[in-house]
Amino acid sequence: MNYILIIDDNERFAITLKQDICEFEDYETGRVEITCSPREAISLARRAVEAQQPFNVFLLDQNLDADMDGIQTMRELLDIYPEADTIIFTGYDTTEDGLRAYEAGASRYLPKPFEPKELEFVLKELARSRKVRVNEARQQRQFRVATEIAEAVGANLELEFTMTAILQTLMDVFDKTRLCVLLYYEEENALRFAPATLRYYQIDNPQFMGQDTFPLGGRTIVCRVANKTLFTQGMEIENIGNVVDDDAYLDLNPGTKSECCVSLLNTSHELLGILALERSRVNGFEEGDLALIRMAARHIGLAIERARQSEMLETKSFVSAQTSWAVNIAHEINSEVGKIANWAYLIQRGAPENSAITEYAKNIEESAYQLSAANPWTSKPPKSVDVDEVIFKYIEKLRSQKGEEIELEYQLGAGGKRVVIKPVQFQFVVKQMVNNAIQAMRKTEKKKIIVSTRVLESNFIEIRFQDFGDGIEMHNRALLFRKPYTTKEKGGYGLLLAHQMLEEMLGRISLEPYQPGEGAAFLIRLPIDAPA
Amino acid sequence: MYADLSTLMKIKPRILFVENDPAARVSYQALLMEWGYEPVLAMGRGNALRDHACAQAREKRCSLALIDLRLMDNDDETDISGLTLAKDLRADHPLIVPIILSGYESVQVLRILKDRPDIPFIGKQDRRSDIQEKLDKVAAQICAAKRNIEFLQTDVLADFMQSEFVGGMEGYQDQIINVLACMFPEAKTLRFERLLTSKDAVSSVARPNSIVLKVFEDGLEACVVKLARVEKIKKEAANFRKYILRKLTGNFNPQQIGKEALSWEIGGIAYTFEGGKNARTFTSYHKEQNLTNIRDVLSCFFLETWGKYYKPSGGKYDTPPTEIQGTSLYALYSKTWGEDWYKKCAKEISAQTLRQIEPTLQKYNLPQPIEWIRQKLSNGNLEFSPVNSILSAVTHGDLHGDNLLVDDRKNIWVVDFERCGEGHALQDFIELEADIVNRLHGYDIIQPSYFKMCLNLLSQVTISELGEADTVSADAQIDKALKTISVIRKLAAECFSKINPREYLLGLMFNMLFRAFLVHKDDPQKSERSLVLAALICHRLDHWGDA
Repeated sequence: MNYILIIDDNERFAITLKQDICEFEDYETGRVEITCSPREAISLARRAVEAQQPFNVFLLDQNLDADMDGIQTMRELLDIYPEADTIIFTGYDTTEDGLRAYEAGASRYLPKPFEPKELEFVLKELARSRKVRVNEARQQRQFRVATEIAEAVGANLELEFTMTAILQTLMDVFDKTRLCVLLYYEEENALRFAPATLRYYQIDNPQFMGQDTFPLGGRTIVCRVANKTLFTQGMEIENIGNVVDDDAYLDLNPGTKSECCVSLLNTSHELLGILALERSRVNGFEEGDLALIRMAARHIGLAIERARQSEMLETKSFVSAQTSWAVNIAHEINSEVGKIANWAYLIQRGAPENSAITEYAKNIEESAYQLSAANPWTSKPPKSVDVDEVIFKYIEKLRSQKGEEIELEYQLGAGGKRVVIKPVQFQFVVKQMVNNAIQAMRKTEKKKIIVSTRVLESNFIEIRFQDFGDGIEMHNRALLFRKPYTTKEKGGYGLLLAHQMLEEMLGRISLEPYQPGEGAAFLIRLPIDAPA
Repeated sequence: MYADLSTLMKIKPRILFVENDPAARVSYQALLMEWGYEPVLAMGRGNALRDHACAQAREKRCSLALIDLRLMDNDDETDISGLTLAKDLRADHPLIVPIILSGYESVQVLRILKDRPDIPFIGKQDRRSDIQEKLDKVAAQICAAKRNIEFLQTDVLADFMQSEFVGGMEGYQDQIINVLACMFPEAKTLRFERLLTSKDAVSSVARPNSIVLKVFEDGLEACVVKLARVEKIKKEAANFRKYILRKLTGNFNPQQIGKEALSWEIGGIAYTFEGGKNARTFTSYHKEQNLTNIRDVLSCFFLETWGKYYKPSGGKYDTPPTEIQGTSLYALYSKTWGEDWYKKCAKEISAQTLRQIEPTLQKYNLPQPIEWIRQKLSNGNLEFSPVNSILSAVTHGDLHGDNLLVDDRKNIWVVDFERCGEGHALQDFIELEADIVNRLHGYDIIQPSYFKMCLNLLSQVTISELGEADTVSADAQIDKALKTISVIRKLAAECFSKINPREYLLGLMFNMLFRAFLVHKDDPQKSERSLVLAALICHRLDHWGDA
């Protein structure tokens, strides 16, 4: 598209010129403006650039009846938008003037009078070469962006680091653009801001401030693209020229006029998330932008996939190291437990007449078994239990051991449904949930834990642990079950192990989306044990 | 004084305990003793511990083995050396039950254990009461002492319990009751009865090292049980499957009950007790019944029940008689009785016994049979060299009167299959004939009626019914014996058309010698009689052409 600014103090000539240009066949003109004043021309050019629709052709009379001549004005205009084509025309054609014009950066020098056909030829030829130039530039830019993203992806396997590098690169490339990456969480069926995203993207609308999760059931453009991707299993892109026309648009930022969303996929064509870009003008994204966005999306997908694989590897190796260590400890403890229990048992049998000694030995034997049972990796066969009963039993047992006064509210609604658990491991998970809640509420006034259970439609039982602490920091939420997390100085393996143990029981653990003022809520899902 | 079965119940089950931690060893040793076991500790470290465990298990004839999973390295979660040892012990000795003891087991180990339900598992952290219960439950399957089985009428086993074989198990004779416990896993009481029913029936062969008897489990019908050295029972079981099970003609084929039980030294096998009312051994039957009945039951056995093995047949599972070339009768008997049978006879028949028969041999100018065989063997005599064509068939291999059972309806069947297999086709006939002669008691070798009987048996030049005059004796016992033998020879002739009489008599001679060897310690007089008959046969064969 050609955006043309004509600068000539002969207004009639300029108007004729504009009419002629608008009539040229196969020459697309988006906008043709006229001005007599070099100052006004400069100001118009600046505004156009700001509005992201710069003039790409300037037609200037060399001899302007003003304090600046055409060549000087052209220099100023090219400073504002160097990629524009400029044509200087003059009634006093001299070789020196012509040379001066070319030296100052003119694309063409046209002596007056000239035929409209002549101008048509020149304009078309300039448009053609500009297109080639722009394409070249775009390709160069794409190449540069690709290189930078690829470098960012390769430099580090940590998602947060990679994401920061990618977003920074995209911010540099897409001038005057807000952009964010949302990651897809299958278990929650929702999109959530990727780590580091919120450093580059702010929600200005107070109505939505703090929202970090977008359930796919909701009507938003990002969710629509995500749902489409889940259906087609291919990259989907939507370019909304004017967000006002789209019912699904969620007004996070009142300044946004156009939005472009593209899905991020892994190599198996599974949805990883959405890259969303917003601009503050209508039709903000052109064809060339879309190509660049697609390319960026592919790289981001790759980056996320690699980061996740690396995280998984790290978690697995951590858990395996923990397990291996724990297995040896278990073996050692149980071997000693066996010996203690042997002697305690034999003392009871050897001194049946001495009731005090028998009682002491019995207590020693019992303690030995308890010591063995306390080991979370102890191997006991899975067992079908009434979920409400077992939750109540474990928590009450825990509560009796705690010094602090914590208000506990039970909302147990599983109605006698059973789940298959590994008792010792499940007890560890419950203990972890309660201890985390207590830890989170150390400094808060309201010390209350709500434990609720309910039956989900999908043959699962959901167990919810809610505390009223400060909640979990945004950048930690996504990493919670993947990396050690703690509010203390050391440790933080509890949630990781809980995650691993629940997986072994075919269950899952997740963090409920953030609700302002409601602390953190962990959700555990376990499949209902079908009656035999 | 021999051990009675109920006293054997007082022997504590021996349990091998294998653990690399010496402190644990001591504590589990005390625990096992408290629970009424005799712990047998394996000592040492690494491979030495393993080797000592295997040696101890054998030496102390352990029934159970409690083995720690990690024997090599307590810190190595992949160490399953205890499981390997358990598998090896189990493979070598089916009656030892290994139990794995472990502090922790990985998913992989649990999977392996799941595939081996015959190797139970106990956690070190389990409650002692649970461990005891589990251990006792496993022990009850293989140790009579942990089952409270009541043994009734155990006097029936008196001879067997006093045998050299049982005496040799000193200290570990509980293997006998353990084998019985394994054969009868549900039994609360086991009552024993002799197969012989008539009181004065005398066995022709002492059974020093094995016993076949009737056993009643709780309120069930009787079954036939054989107890013998473990190798013999293995052989018996294999022969039963190869030659008896679904192979014999008629309705009176015993079926094996359960699986044979094999301990370290002794084994046992149980069969259904066939037949109807008043079933007894042929020895008893022979004493009490008339010749017609005797002829009937013997015909039934040789022509029908076992007769199948004497007929040419082309069935897939049949083993018809075959003419075998390039062997000798001597070689064939060696196959059945063992290659060293003659050497044993030569070595063990005492000089005293030989001195006793010497005057008789001299008086009648008879050769000494052991020496006679030695000479024939060294001279490469025709009948001892591998040139003859001899008829081979599947034979029972130990067909004496106590291995044949007969009921009131004249059903006849057979027990004891340890020596079953391909051998001299006439062997069973010869053996039964020899048994009948040997069971005659109260005769001196030079007693005229007995001596005449011997001569009568050798008078024929063909093997068939004896001449009428040859079957008559003033002595009723000898008269019946001669008539029964006549029946047997007639049946042999019916089964096999061309019998070489020299072959038959040589077989009889071998049988006599072998029997003389078997009974020489317990009944020297019987041994001497057998030797004289053997000498007579030798003389007869040497003077075959003479009138």
